[in-house]
Amino acid sequence: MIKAIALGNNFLLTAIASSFLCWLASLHFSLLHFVQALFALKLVISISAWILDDALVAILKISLMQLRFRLVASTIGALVGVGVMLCRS
Amino acid sequence: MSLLKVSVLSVSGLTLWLAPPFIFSRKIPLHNFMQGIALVSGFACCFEARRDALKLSKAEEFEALKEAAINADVVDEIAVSSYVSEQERRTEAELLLATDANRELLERALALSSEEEERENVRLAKNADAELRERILQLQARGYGKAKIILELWGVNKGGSAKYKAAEAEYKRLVGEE
Repeated sequence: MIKAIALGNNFLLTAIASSFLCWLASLHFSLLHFVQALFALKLVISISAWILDDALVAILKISLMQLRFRLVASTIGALVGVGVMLCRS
Repeated sequence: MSLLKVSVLSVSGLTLWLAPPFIFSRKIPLHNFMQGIALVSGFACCFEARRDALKLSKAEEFEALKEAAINADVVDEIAVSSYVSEQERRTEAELLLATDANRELLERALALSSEEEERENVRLAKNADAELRERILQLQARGYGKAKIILELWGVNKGGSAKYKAAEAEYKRLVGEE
Protein backbone atom coordinates (compact mmCIF):
# COMPACT_ATOMS: atom_id res chain seq x y z
CA MET A 1 0.00 0.00 0.00
CA ILE A 2 2.60 2.53 1.11
CA LYS A 3 4.92 1.48 -1.72
CA ALA A 4 2.08 2.03 -4.19
CA ILE A 5 1.60 5.54 -2.78
CA ALA A 6 5.33 6.21 -3.17
CA LEU A 7 5.24 5.02 -6.78
CA GLY A 8 2.13 7.12 -7.45
CA ASN A 9 3.90 10.15 -6.04
CA ASN A 10 6.87 9.46 -8.31
CA PHE A 11 4.52 9.56 -11.24
CA LEU A 12 2.87 12.76 -9.96
CA LEU A 13 6.28 14.40 -9.49
CA THR A 14 7.21 13.71 -13.11
CA ALA A 15 3.84 14.90 -14.36
CA ILE A 16 3.86 18.09 -12.25
CA ALA A 17 7.47 18.83 -13.31
CA SER A 18 6.58 18.54 -16.98
CA SER A 19 3.44 20.66 -16.40
CA PHE A 20 5.61 23.27 -14.70
CA LEU A 21 7.98 23.28 -17.68
CA CYS A 22 5.00 23.77 -19.99
CA TRP A 23 3.83 26.66 -17.82
CA LEU A 24 7.33 28.16 -18.05
CA ALA A 25 7.27 27.70 -21.81
CA SER A 26 4.02 29.62 -21.97
CA LEU A 27 5.60 32.63 -20.27
CA HIS A 28 8.15 33.58 -22.94
CA PHE A 29 9.17 32.54 -26.43
CA SER A 30 12.80 31.93 -25.50
CA LEU A 31 11.68 29.79 -22.54
CA LEU A 32 9.65 27.73 -24.99
CA HIS A 33 12.84 26.88 -26.90
CA PHE A 34 14.58 26.09 -23.63
CA VAL A 35 11.77 23.73 -22.54
CA GLN A 36 11.70 22.12 -25.98
CA ALA A 37 15.43 21.50 -25.66
CA LEU A 38 14.89 20.00 -22.22
CA PHE A 39 12.19 17.63 -23.53
CA ALA A 40 14.43 16.70 -26.46
CA LEU A 41 17.24 15.99 -24.03
CA LYS A 42 14.90 13.87 -21.93
CA LEU A 43 13.87 11.95 -25.03
CA VAL A 44 17.50 11.30 -25.99
CA ILE A 45 18.36 10.17 -22.47
CA SER A 46 15.34 7.84 -22.37
CA ILE A 47 16.21 6.27 -25.74
CA SER A 48 19.87 5.91 -24.71
CA ALA A 49 18.83 4.33 -21.41
CA TRP A 50 16.52 1.94 -23.27
CA ILE A 51 19.37 0.94 -25.63
CA LEU A 52 22.06 0.74 -22.93
CA ASP A 53 19.77 -0.96 -20.42
CA ASP A 54 22.23 -3.76 -19.56
CA ALA A 55 25.02 -1.32 -18.65
CA LEU A 56 22.61 0.88 -16.65
CA VAL A 57 21.27 -2.15 -14.77
CA ALA A 58 24.82 -2.97 -13.66
CA ILE A 59 25.56 0.66 -12.68
CA LEU A 60 22.27 1.41 -10.90
CA LYS A 61 22.10 -2.12 -9.40
CA ILE A 62 18.41 -2.57 -10.23
CA SER A 63 16.62 -5.22 -12.24
CA LEU A 64 15.91 -4.80 -15.96
CA MET A 65 12.19 -4.80 -15.28
CA GLN A 66 12.57 -1.95 -12.78
CA LEU A 67 14.60 0.12 -15.26
CA ARG A 68 12.05 -0.38 -18.02
CA PHE A 69 9.19 0.38 -15.63
CA ARG A 70 10.88 3.62 -14.60
CA LEU A 71 11.56 4.66 -18.18
CA VAL A 72 7.99 3.95 -19.29
CA ALA A 73 6.51 5.59 -16.17
CA SER A 74 8.61 8.75 -16.57
CA THR A 75 7.72 9.01 -20.27
CA ILE A 76 4.01 8.56 -19.59
CA GLY A 77 4.20 11.02 -16.68
CA ALA A 78 5.87 13.64 -18.84
CA LEU A 79 3.31 13.14 -21.59
CA VAL A 80 0.40 13.40 -19.13
CA GLY A 81 1.89 16.58 -17.64
CA VAL A 82 2.26 18.14 -21.07
CA GLY A 83 -1.25 16.96 -21.99
CA VAL A 84 -2.79 18.59 -18.93
CA MET A 85 -1.19 21.95 -19.73
CA LEU A 86 -2.21 21.71 -23.40
CA CYS A 87 -5.80 21.00 -22.46
CA ARG A 88 -6.10 23.92 -20.02
CA SER A 89 -8.36 26.80 -20.78
CA MET B 1 -0.84 9.31 11.42
CA SER B 2 1.97 9.17 8.90
CA LEU B 3 -0.19 7.30 6.43
CA LEU B 4 -2.83 9.99 6.82
CA LYS B 5 -0.19 12.68 6.27
CA VAL B 6 1.07 10.93 3.14
CA SER B 7 -2.46 10.55 1.82
CA VAL B 8 -3.36 14.19 2.49
CA LEU B 9 -0.14 15.42 0.88
CA SER B 10 -0.69 13.21 -2.18
CA VAL B 11 -4.27 14.38 -2.65
CA SER B 12 -3.19 18.01 -2.13
CA GLY B 13 -0.43 17.62 -4.72
CA LEU B 14 -2.84 16.08 -7.21
CA THR B 15 -5.38 18.86 -6.62
CA LEU B 16 -2.79 21.63 -6.86
CA TRP B 17 -1.56 20.14 -10.12
CA LEU B 18 -4.90 19.48 -11.86
CA ALA B 19 -7.27 22.14 -10.53
CA PRO B 20 -5.54 25.47 -11.32
CA PRO B 21 -5.06 24.96 -15.08
CA PHE B 22 -8.78 24.31 -15.44
CA ILE B 23 -9.92 27.02 -12.99
CA PHE B 24 -7.60 29.93 -13.75
CA SER B 25 -7.25 31.63 -17.10
CA ARG B 26 -3.77 31.82 -18.58
CA LYS B 27 -4.58 35.14 -20.20
CA ILE B 28 -4.90 36.92 -16.85
CA PRO B 29 -1.39 37.53 -15.46
CA LEU B 30 -2.39 37.00 -11.82
CA HIS B 31 -4.11 33.70 -12.70
CA ASN B 32 -1.12 32.61 -14.66
CA PHE B 33 1.14 33.44 -11.75
CA MET B 34 -1.17 31.53 -9.37
CA GLN B 35 -0.96 28.52 -11.67
CA GLY B 36 2.82 28.56 -11.36
CA ILE B 37 2.63 28.86 -7.58
CA ALA B 38 0.09 25.99 -7.43
CA LEU B 39 2.33 23.77 -9.57
CA VAL B 40 5.35 24.44 -7.34
CA SER B 41 3.24 23.78 -4.24
CA GLY B 42 1.85 20.60 -5.75
CA PHE B 43 5.37 19.47 -6.60
CA ALA B 44 6.48 20.18 -3.02
CA CYS B 45 3.48 18.30 -1.60
CA CYS B 46 4.15 15.25 -3.79
CA PHE B 47 7.86 15.37 -2.97
CA GLU B 48 7.15 15.39 0.78
CA ALA B 49 4.52 12.66 0.40
CA ARG B 50 6.98 10.50 -1.52
CA ARG B 51 9.69 11.04 1.09
CA ASP B 52 7.33 10.11 3.95
CA ALA B 53 6.01 7.11 2.04
CA LEU B 54 9.54 5.80 1.49
CA LYS B 55 10.34 6.37 5.15
CA LEU B 56 7.21 4.47 6.18
CA SER B 57 8.02 1.70 3.73
CA LYS B 58 11.48 1.33 5.23
CA ALA B 59 9.99 1.27 8.74
CA GLU B 60 7.55 -1.46 7.66
CA GLU B 61 10.41 -3.46 6.16
CA PHE B 62 12.34 -3.04 9.40
CA GLU B 63 9.33 -4.24 11.40
CA ALA B 64 8.96 -7.23 9.09
CA LEU B 65 12.66 -8.02 9.49
CA LYS B 66 12.36 -7.69 13.27
CA GLU B 67 9.40 -10.07 13.28
CA ALA B 68 11.29 -12.51 11.06
CA ALA B 69 14.28 -12.30 13.42
CA ILE B 70 12.02 -12.99 16.43
CA ASN B 71 10.48 -15.96 14.62
CA ALA B 72 13.96 -17.22 13.70
CA ASP B 73 15.01 -16.85 17.34
CA VAL B 74 12.01 -18.88 18.49
CA VAL B 75 12.73 -21.58 15.91
CA ASP B 76 16.39 -21.58 16.94
CA GLU B 77 15.46 -21.88 20.61
CA ILE B 78 13.16 -24.83 19.85
CA ALA B 79 15.90 -26.46 17.77
CA VAL B 80 18.45 -25.94 20.55
CA SER B 81 16.12 -27.40 23.18
CA SER B 82 15.39 -30.44 21.01
CA TYR B 83 19.13 -30.82 20.36
CA VAL B 84 19.84 -30.63 24.10
CA SER B 85 17.16 -33.23 24.88
CA GLU B 86 18.60 -35.43 22.13
CA GLN B 87 22.05 -35.06 23.71
CA GLU B 88 20.58 -35.96 27.09
CA ARG B 89 18.97 -39.05 25.60
CA ARG B 90 22.29 -39.96 24.01
CA THR B 91 24.09 -39.52 27.34
CA GLU B 92 21.51 -41.73 29.04
CA ALA B 93 21.97 -44.33 26.33
CA GLU B 94 25.73 -44.18 26.82
CA LEU B 95 25.24 -44.64 30.56
CA LEU B 96 23.04 -47.65 29.85
CA LEU B 97 25.71 -49.02 27.56
CA ALA B 98 28.25 -48.49 30.33
CA THR B 99 25.91 -50.40 32.64
CA ASP B 100 25.77 -53.14 30.03
CA ALA B 101 29.55 -53.20 30.06
CA ASN B 102 29.42 -53.65 33.83
CA ARG B 103 26.91 -56.41 33.33
CA GLU B 104 29.29 -58.02 30.88
CA LEU B 105 32.05 -57.85 33.46
CA LEU B 106 29.74 -59.49 36.01
CA GLU B 107 28.82 -62.19 33.52
CA ARG B 108 32.50 -62.83 32.86
CA ALA B 109 33.16 -63.08 36.59
CA LEU B 110 30.22 -65.49 36.90
CA ALA B 111 31.55 -67.59 34.06
CA LEU B 112 34.95 -67.70 35.74
CA SER B 113 33.40 -68.87 39.01
CA SER B 114 31.42 -71.54 37.09
CA GLU B 115 34.65 -72.77 35.56
CA GLU B 116 36.08 -73.06 39.05
CA GLU B 117 33.02 -75.05 40.15
CA GLU B 118 33.42 -77.29 37.15
CA ARG B 119 37.05 -77.89 38.05
CA GLU B 120 35.91 -78.73 41.59
CA ASN B 121 33.34 -81.16 40.21
CA VAL B 122 35.96 -82.79 38.03
CA ARG B 123 38.25 -83.04 41.02
CA LEU B 124 35.42 -84.60 43.08
CA ALA B 125 34.65 -87.00 40.26
CA LYS B 126 38.29 -87.99 40.08
CA ASN B 127 38.27 -88.54 43.81
CA ALA B 128 35.14 -90.67 43.50
CA ASP B 129 36.81 -92.68 40.75
CA ALA B 130 39.85 -93.18 42.95
CA GLU B 131 37.64 -94.30 45.83
CA LEU B 132 35.79 -96.70 43.58
CA ARG B 133 39.08 -98.08 42.27
CA GLU B 134 40.29 -98.53 45.82
CA ARG B 135 37.11 -100.37 46.74
CA ILE B 136 37.38 -102.58 43.62
CA LEU B 137 40.95 -103.44 44.53
CA GLN B 138 39.89 -104.30 48.07
CA LEU B 139 37.10 -106.54 46.80
CA GLN B 140 39.40 -108.21 44.26
CA ALA B 141 41.85 -108.84 47.09
CA ARG B 142 39.09 -110.59 48.96
CA GLY B 143 38.58 -112.78 45.89
CA TYR B 144 35.38 -111.20 44.51
CA GLY B 145 34.62 -111.63 40.83
CA LYS B 146 33.41 -108.98 38.41
CA ALA B 147 29.72 -109.73 38.79
CA LYS B 148 29.94 -109.71 42.53
CA ILE B 149 31.90 -106.47 42.62
CA ILE B 150 29.31 -104.83 40.35
CA LEU B 151 26.56 -106.10 42.59
CA GLU B 152 28.40 -104.84 45.65
CA LEU B 153 29.27 -101.40 44.31
CA TRP B 154 26.44 -100.52 41.91
CA GLY B 155 23.73 -102.83 43.30
CA VAL B 156 22.95 -104.38 39.91
CA ASN B 157 22.59 -108.13 39.28
CA LYS B 158 24.27 -109.74 36.32
CA GLY B 159 22.09 -109.78 33.20
CA GLY B 160 21.37 -107.94 30.00
CA SER B 161 19.79 -104.88 31.62
CA ALA B 162 20.89 -101.40 30.66
CA LYS B 163 21.84 -100.60 34.22
CA TYR B 164 24.10 -103.61 34.40
CA LYS B 165 25.72 -102.75 31.08
CA ALA B 166 26.40 -99.20 32.25
CA ALA B 167 27.82 -100.49 35.51
CA GLU B 168 29.95 -102.99 33.64
CA ALA B 169 31.28 -100.26 31.33
CA GLU B 170 32.13 -98.12 34.37
CA TYR B 171 33.83 -101.06 36.02
CA LYS B 172 35.87 -101.78 32.87
CA ARG B 173 36.83 -98.12 32.61
CA LEU B 174 38.04 -98.06 36.20
CA VAL B 175 39.83 -101.33 35.99
CA GLY B 176 41.24 -100.61 32.54
CA GLU B 177 42.76 -97.36 33.73
CA GLU B 178 44.87 -99.09 36.26
